Amino acid sequence: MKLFIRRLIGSVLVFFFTGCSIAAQPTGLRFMVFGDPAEYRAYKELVDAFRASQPEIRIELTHVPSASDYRTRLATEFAAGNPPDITLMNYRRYASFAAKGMLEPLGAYLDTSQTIAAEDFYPITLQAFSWQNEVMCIPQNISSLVVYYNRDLFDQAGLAYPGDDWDWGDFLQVAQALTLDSDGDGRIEQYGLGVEASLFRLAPFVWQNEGVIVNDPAFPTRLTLARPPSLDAFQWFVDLRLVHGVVPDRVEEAALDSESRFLNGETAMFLNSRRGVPTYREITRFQWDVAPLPMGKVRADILHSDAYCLASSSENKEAAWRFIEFANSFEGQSIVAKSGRTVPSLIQVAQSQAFLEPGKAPQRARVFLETIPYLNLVPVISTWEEIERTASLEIERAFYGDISVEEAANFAFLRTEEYFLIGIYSIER
Amino acid sequence: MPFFRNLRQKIKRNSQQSSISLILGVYLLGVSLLVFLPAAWSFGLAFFQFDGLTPPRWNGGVNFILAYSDQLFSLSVRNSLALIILPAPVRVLGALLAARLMQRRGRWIGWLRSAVFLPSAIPVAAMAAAGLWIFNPLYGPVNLLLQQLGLSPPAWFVEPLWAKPALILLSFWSIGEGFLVCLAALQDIPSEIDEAARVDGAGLGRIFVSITLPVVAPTLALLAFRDMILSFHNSFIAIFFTTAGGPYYATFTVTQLIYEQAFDLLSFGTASATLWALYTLSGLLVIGLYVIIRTWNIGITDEPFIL
Amino acid sequence: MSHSSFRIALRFAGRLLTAFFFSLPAIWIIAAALHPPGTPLPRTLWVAPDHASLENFARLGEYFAWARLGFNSLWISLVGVGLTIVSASLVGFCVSLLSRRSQQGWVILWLALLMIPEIALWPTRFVLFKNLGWIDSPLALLAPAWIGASPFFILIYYRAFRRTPREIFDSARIDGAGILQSWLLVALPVTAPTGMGIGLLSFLFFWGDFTSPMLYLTSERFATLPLALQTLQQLARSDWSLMMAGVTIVMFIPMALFIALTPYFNRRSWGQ
Repeated sequence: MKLFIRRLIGSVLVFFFTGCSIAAQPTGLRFMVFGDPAEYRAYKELVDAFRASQPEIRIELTHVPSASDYRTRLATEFAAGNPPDITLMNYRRYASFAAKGMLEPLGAYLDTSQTIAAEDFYPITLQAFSWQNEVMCIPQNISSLVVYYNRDLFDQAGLAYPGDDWDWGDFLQVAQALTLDSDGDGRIEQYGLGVEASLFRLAPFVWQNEGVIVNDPAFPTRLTLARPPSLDAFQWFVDLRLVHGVVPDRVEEAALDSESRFLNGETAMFLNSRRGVPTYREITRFQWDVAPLPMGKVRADILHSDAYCLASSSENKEAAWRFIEFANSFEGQSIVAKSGRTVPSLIQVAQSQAFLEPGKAPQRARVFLETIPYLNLVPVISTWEEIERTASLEIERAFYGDISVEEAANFAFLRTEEYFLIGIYSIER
Repeated sequence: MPFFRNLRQKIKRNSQQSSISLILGVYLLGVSLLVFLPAAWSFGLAFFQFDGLTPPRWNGGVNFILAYSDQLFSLSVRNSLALIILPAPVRVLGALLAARLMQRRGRWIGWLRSAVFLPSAIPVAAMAAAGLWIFNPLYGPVNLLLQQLGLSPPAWFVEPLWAKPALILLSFWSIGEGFLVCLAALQDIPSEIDEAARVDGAGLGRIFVSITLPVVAPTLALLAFRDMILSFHNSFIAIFFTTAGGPYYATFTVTQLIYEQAFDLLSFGTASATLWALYTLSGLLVIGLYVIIRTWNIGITDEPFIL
Repeated sequence: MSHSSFRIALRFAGRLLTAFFFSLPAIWIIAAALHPPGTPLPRTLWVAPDHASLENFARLGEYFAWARLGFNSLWISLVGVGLTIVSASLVGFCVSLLSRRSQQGWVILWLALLMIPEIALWPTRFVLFKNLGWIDSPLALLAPAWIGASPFFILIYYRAFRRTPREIFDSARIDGAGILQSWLLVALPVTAPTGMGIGLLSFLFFWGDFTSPMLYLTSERFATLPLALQTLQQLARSDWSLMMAGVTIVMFIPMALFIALTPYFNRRSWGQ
């Protein structure tokens, strides 16, 4: 016993002073993704296909459910000194890692690749992932924000499906017609619309009104929701809830969120990017489809894009690149596209049957392609996630009627000012 | 076995004292490594800029300026005080009342006591996740119950004003440990005193105030302090699952702030600077505890230590 | 004597009501878990049992491998309980043999340890575990067992040994038993009920631990059940019946264990 204890103390001291590691070293490469079970299955399939084509490289897939928690998890793993070799990151979130030098720039890899080339991608996706004039990560998708709608509810109400050129007026009219208190008890059973009250959802409407969310798209230093065209769009957005009541109020949203209401057939239209498709394809009780965002003064939409990033501390960059290359080849992007999860960033795949898949919902998949010319980016700054999170809290307060839009715009500006100041920018001044 | 023969020889050499020292030494080593070292380290880290990736860099008092000038800091301190310090005495009193009610034998007493402890067997994370449902404003059982009683219930976690009460109410179910400790403490009251007082015609309330409370008061005070310290941890998990600090920062506590600074933003230095506030808070609690120990001589008299 | 029998009846009613109040969460959780998925949530308090469905439990498998997580939780908790009983009782026993003055010092130390908020240790323990190579290893989850999981457990053991008549240990010592022998052969058996209590409490400690796996595990290899709740909370935020099915899975074993042990505690007078 004593001997054992002595050994124990000894080994503990040795570990402590030498910092030597007894954790099992990961074999092969770790690849971390976020998303729901349907999305996870798509990446599993991708990994399996890669294993079949290049069996000498082993990929271990790790999965984190939510995108917002993803960054905390990644940050922790980078701090632990054992980050995943390959990570899937959103363009709104990769900057904080790039700014700390945690990511390996992939521009040089892309330039020398035999399989893929920069010209194959929709340019805006590479632009989103360019950090200080270098391609940092390889984008896998290019989704717009679209309107998912329940066709059965439109049919029941005798309404025509949304057209490709509908505007704010049509949108509101339809939403009002689909907001129903069917049993007349004063409580609304069916809502016309579901939308998250956040900066990211509000931004395309601001752009459609010829407004801006930041003062200078290249080198932003403040939020500008208080400027007239932006504020008008903000007011219009908030009025959907406060004046027209076509969106659930805060209590109803907390009791059962709009996406669940849409899935249950209790909400007619829901705003989301392409990522909802795998889950919505499991709906059996009604037919659904997608329409572009309604038009304001101009057409505008917002880019949703995720990319494969390589950790700069990875010990096996060559092998990791081979996986990234495979995932973004025609074959790789087709596999994930078939799951419904992505609008491929490779022009060729986006226009192929792998994405358009006739016979599968959404029938109007071309909407995703037709909105690409109107896509805008949010700024790429290391502190953008904090900026969005802080501003969204204020937008939410206005949306549910706690404060006016003027107050919300002003608070959003004041509370995010510091983040712009300490943020590191994609473009060097 | 040679091991035991060896041991016996040593005992003949009267080395009992040394094996006690060895065992306690191993324990102290563990405490130093797992508690004192990290605690002292985070105390010192406040003077460094450290992101867990590159070696720490000295930056004097900048972290303190950064941490304490944050608008969220004073807000989170206030929220912590409201969520942690205020409910503890009430929780402990609830535990005592339940223990008093279940003190003496009677029909099904074992199972009834068991029922009181039962929610405490539910892990904090599970209880918090359940809390989201139990206090759901439209479909949750609490509000359906209140509605049937003819009340118009609040939206709990959704309203800034009611989010804290919801968290506190949720924590009232998990008083099992305090309940057990109170039961044990109550066993120390001789039942004759109780009976004699009752024969003298003393009411239940008077017996409780003049006989029960004084005997268990030290235990209650200890429990309340322990409850507060534990709440730093448990309330973090509960908030993490239910409101994530919302609605509009209404439940954003110091613990949340530290977690965000350390693990989301990887600024361990600022997190440590914020930690100093937490140390101060718990330091005050320790001083309060020390006063209680001295006043009641807990653990210093011949009385067996009650806990 | 009708007065006193009335009092007894009143007390019994009060006890029943209290017990019912504390059973409510479990009842509500299980009732919600049985709600058939894909149907609107009821707006009345009592759900007819013919609507009950186990489908939610089947759906849980889509979100996490609950069998594997449950297995991890179980073995980590059991190992943790074993180590905790050994360390807490050994330390409590040794301290109870010391001089009165030293005992005071140790009690003060434990009280001081009780007062350190756990959050104060997270960031630096993280750095420590990283240097020890314990990140993503069950060692990070089991580390507290080295120091008796909680000073509270050691205090309970210490109190139990103090209450045991000294003669029992003294006679063992005259027989020539060493510390470890009298601990194993005398001290542990006479404090068996305390051991049961500590076993249960430390099981709840390890089983319910959410922050250690969240902070110190990076892969899913040793993930435990409470982490699954986080997954559900993020992916199925409004799918209440599914989430309550997850909660049921997480609370099932500790609650069943506790209920199974109730007769044992009944026989030995609670709280001692």
